[in-house]
This record gives sequence, C-alpha cells and structure tokens, in this order.
Amino acid sequence: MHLTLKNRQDIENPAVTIEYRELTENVKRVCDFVRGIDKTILCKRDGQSYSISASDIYYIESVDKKTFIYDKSEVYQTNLRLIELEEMLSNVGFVRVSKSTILNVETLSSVKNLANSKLEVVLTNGEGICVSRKYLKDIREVLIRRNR
Amino acid sequence: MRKNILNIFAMTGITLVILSLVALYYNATFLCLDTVFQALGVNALIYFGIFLISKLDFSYFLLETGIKLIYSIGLILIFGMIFGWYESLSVTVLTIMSLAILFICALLDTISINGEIKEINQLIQDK
Repeated sequence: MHLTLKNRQDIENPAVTIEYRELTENVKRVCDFVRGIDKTILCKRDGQSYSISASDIYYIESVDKKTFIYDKSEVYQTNLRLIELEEMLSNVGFVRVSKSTILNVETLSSVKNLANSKLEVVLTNGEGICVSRKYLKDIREVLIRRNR
Repeated sequence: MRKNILNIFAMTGITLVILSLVALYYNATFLCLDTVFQALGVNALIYFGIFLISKLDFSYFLLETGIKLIYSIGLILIFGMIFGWYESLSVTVLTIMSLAILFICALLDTISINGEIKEINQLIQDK
C-alpha cells in the first residue's frame, strides 16, 4: 500500500481518498480507522459541552445508569447509553471488557493476571482496568483483526 | 462449543484416571463401563453449572469459588447416591477425589489463561 501526502492550502479540512482495485480487509481497516478519527461523541464536563473524537477515547464506563467517557487524563459524561456506544464504535477498535466497560484496543499497553482470577488491562496512560476472563477471547480477536 | 466439549472430555479423562488410581489403591481389578458414562454425564453438568455461575460475574472471588465448590461437590455427592457409588467408595474418599479433580482442572485452566494472556501481550506489542 503506497501512501501519498499532498499539502494543499486551498482546503479547510483534510480529506482522505483511498484508491483500490479490490475492497480487501486491509482497505476496510484503513476506512474504519479514518472513520474512527472522524467519529465524535458529544459529551459534557463541568457544565461545558465537548466533542470527543473516538480515537482519543481510552475507555467508556457505565456506572449507576450514567455513561462516562475517559480520555488520556479527563472524564466526560454522555447521554448515550453504553450499548449504543458499543454499536457505534465496534468497527473502530472498541471491545467490551466487562459488563459495564468498553475499551479502545489502541490504548492497550498490556494484560496482567490478578490473584483473584480477574485480569487487569493496563492502558498507555498507566491506568489499569479490571476485566472479566470471559472477554479475553474478544480482546484477542479484535487485536488479531487489527494486526492483519 | 467445540472447546466446551473438549473441556468436558478432558475433565472426564482426569476423573477416570484419578478414579483408577483410587481403585488400584483399594486393590480393585476393574472399572465398570457405565461408570465411564456416569462420569461423563456428571462432568458435563458440573462444567455447565460452573459456566453459568461464572456468567453471574461476582465481585468477590472467594464467594464465587465457594459457590462453584459447593455446587460441584454437592452434585457429585447427589449423583453418588443415585448411581450407587457409595457401595464401593466412602463419602470422604469421593469428596477428596472431587477436590483433586477440581484442583487439576483449575490448574489446567490457569495454564491456559496464562497462555492466552501471553498471546495477547504479543499481539499488543506487534500492533
């Protein structure tokens, strides 16, 4: 796959054009990635509204029927439900890691086994999240798809 | 589904090996064929019961482990009465055997999980 970058002063927003002979898995992955960057979610923090790009999100958690979005260092709240966000973000590298959490696999740093038969995923910002063992297979599958 | 079936057969195999060792200790010379199928049936019930208990996703590890143990051993003791296992084994020996089987299965499960974790960490590095 060749990458060509053109610096154009006449356009406002960057545009991505993908030229392909056949719509292969790799082409689809590039499309999903680009869509992911562009996919934004409206949320709030301290009374102010923000639009967060999916690629900046580390994980999303549902607590007491409220949905919280975590980026590298901040927490936001959104009116969308976890299940809606999971559907929206499943093709841009988000995977369910517990009953109440979905995670962006791009932010994964490592996975550790804890003594109480739970697992901990460590993110690139150093944060650790407890995950259930039964979601390990899903994490593995998403990583395999992204690495192909 | 395939992995579940393989796990049940693995548990049954471990059960029959441990049962054979206990039988040898008591100078037995054979195991009945129906024991093989009884072991398979009980192991299948234990496996699916533990699977359903795991789905409940307890916050406390000891509570979940305790419930799984009580369920497994309870089931074995009940089926021991139904299949007449107490004619050749005491309740104590059956309980100890059950604990040994569950321990071996837990050990194998841990080894398998550690393998998966290693694979995932490698996939993360290859990203």
